[in-house]
Amino acid sequence: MSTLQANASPSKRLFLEMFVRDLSLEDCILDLVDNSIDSLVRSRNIKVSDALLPAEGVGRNGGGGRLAIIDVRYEPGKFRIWDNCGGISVKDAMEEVFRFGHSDNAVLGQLGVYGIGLKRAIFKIGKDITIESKTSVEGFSVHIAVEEWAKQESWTVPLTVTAGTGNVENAGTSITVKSFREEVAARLRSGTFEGHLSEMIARTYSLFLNRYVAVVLNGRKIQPKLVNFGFSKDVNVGKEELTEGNVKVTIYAGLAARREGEWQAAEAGWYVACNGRLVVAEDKTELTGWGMGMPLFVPKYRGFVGLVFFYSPNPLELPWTTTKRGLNQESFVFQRVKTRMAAIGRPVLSFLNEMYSSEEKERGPQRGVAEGVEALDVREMASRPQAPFRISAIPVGGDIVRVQYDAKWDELERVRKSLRKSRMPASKVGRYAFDYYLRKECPQ
Amino acid sequence: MSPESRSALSVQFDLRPAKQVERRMLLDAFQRLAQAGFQIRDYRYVGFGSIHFVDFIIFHKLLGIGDMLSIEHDADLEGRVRFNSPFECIKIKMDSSTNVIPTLNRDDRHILWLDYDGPVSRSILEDVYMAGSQLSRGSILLVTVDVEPPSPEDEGPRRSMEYFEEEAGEYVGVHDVQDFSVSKLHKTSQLVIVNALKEGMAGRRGTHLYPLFYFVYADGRRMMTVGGVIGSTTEQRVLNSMNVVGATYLRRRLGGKPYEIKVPVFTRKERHLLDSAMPCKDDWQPEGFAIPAGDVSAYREVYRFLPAYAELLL
Repeated sequence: MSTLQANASPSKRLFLEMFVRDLSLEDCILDLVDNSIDSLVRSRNIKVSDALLPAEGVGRNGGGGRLAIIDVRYEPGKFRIWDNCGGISVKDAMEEVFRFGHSDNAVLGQLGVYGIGLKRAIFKIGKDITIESKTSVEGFSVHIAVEEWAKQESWTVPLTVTAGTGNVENAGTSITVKSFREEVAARLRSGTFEGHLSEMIARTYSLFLNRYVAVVLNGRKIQPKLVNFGFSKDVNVGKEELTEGNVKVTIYAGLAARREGEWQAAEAGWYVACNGRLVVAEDKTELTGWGMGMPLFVPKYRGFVGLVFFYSPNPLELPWTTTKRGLNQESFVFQRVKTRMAAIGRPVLSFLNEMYSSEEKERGPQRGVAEGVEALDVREMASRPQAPFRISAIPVGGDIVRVQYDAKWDELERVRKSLRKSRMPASKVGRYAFDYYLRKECPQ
Repeated sequence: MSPESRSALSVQFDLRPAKQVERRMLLDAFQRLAQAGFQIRDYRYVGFGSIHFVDFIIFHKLLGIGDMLSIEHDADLEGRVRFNSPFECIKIKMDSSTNVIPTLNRDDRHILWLDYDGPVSRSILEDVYMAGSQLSRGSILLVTVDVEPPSPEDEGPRRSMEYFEEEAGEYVGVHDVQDFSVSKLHKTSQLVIVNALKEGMAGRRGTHLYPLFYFVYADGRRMMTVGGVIGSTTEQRVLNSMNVVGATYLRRRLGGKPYEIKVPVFTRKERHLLDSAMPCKDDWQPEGFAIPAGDVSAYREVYRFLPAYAELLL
């Protein structure tokens, strides 16, 4: 009997051609933004757990400085992400940045977990890559011509050491990718790509934007898009905190804030953030417990919104996947939290069941509660104590009767035009007309 | 809406002998648990007291439990429920069990009896799931459901299978149509309830269900109760030290046969005679007339728990 050694070494093609298929171009760019934010967290000692707290001195980096900037820009043939987030040290560049996966003694960032994002992103975008980075004390630059690099046996990349900036404010990183992959060039040209990317950045980094950092996309600053809960004297937001090992978890569930008297079905569902970065948004699937522990999502639940915030100093303990666009169902902490999400969300769903119990129309008392809520910034909820979702007062519906009638479209439009409110919902137009008659014809 | 005790209105609740035997057996088990070291007296009892509160009366008077919560989802009954509540220490919550379970204190120990009238359903399994997430270690969960075919029997097991696939979804696991024959429905119902409970307990490290009860009985419709202690090896150790002599109704493992509560019919005079011979030997028979041997042994199993009813003219 003899023992042979089979070849189990990785091939460059695996990384260049296979891994890049695992996620979208938008997600790749988000991975690059993650790296910039990680530099910022490191260089300015930001506590990610504070991202959920009410913002005092917003955008002052906790110390009176200006917001850091991450500038993403692309044009035919050239993609560039530039930041002044502190830069990458030569040591990290030598030992970690270009390695596939982290070394055993790597100091992990807060958002970069698996040591795969940056490589996957740049290889996905194109074949001519330049990275320049400067900390306050040193700098480096790297150029990779991907096709030539792929032919080489060696896994190293040549790195030129340069001077530092002398101060933290200007220290940062710039990554430029040219010679796009054909499919990437096509997507970047598409009419919806920029809007979609902007939307994803606005959501994903909603807790960081305008607080620690500004993200600029093709010259336009992106505004954060926060999850908005509804709150009033009659209705609160359910909240529960728990700790599993090193992972701290806060779960919120409540009614969504309404826009123009309506709930937006698309925005309903669960949102999950790991260390402040959103990994799941508007989820209505089994992933977050719908149809398993919670009922299946149906349209009457469009007023439901829930947010789970996981925080750990060791991001490997968080339940995110390598794409950061999903949750690791096997994670112990997530298994536990999923059952708590069902429990915290339950009273909200019961309220909505009541609201739509008899017909598709909203029942008066519940509608009164729903219409009374005001949008509440999720950061405002952080200081509130734990409590289940509760409706403190369902207004008595006995003296209320529902008035309904049909109207012709063009007549409705005429009223809207006269009111100069072209988007006023039909129900509100009806209400306005009723109030008008009351005021004019039968004043008290 | 949870299908809680609607039967309270159609059945004279305290006159269901098999149900009463079940309650007395639970009481017996709780007394044994208390003796082994569970502080049952300090537990909170949560159940569906309806307008009769039979379980509340027994557990308050005979176990000394003084913190009790009765859940009632039928708003029309509120006045009667409050009127009939027998003790000051019983709180009434007018809401569905689905809403109340997530609000139970996660540090307190509970005995939670989800005593439904209907067959397994989506909302029942949601309750069970939630209880698995909510109940503290050391708590006791009991779930009772109807195990008659969920639709009229002549439609056969295939229809029952469709019902379970719809209502219990993935909790049914690998199955075929035979699992839904009338004689297997208690087993299938137990399986999906336990699966929902395990799912609700997911991610609770070191926490398990330690089964104690698996009853089947019929005062009219066939019912099944499954239950046990939610706990860790600490609770397991205490359970293992419990005196189980004579407690033939306990079921400490899942997957076995249920304990079938059978109440043989005897006259009052016959019961006096039988009682005087209890506990009897296997082949015992009264002098002067014959009783089927099966009835004698069935009586021997339940006589300690069996209520005696008499008309009381007030």
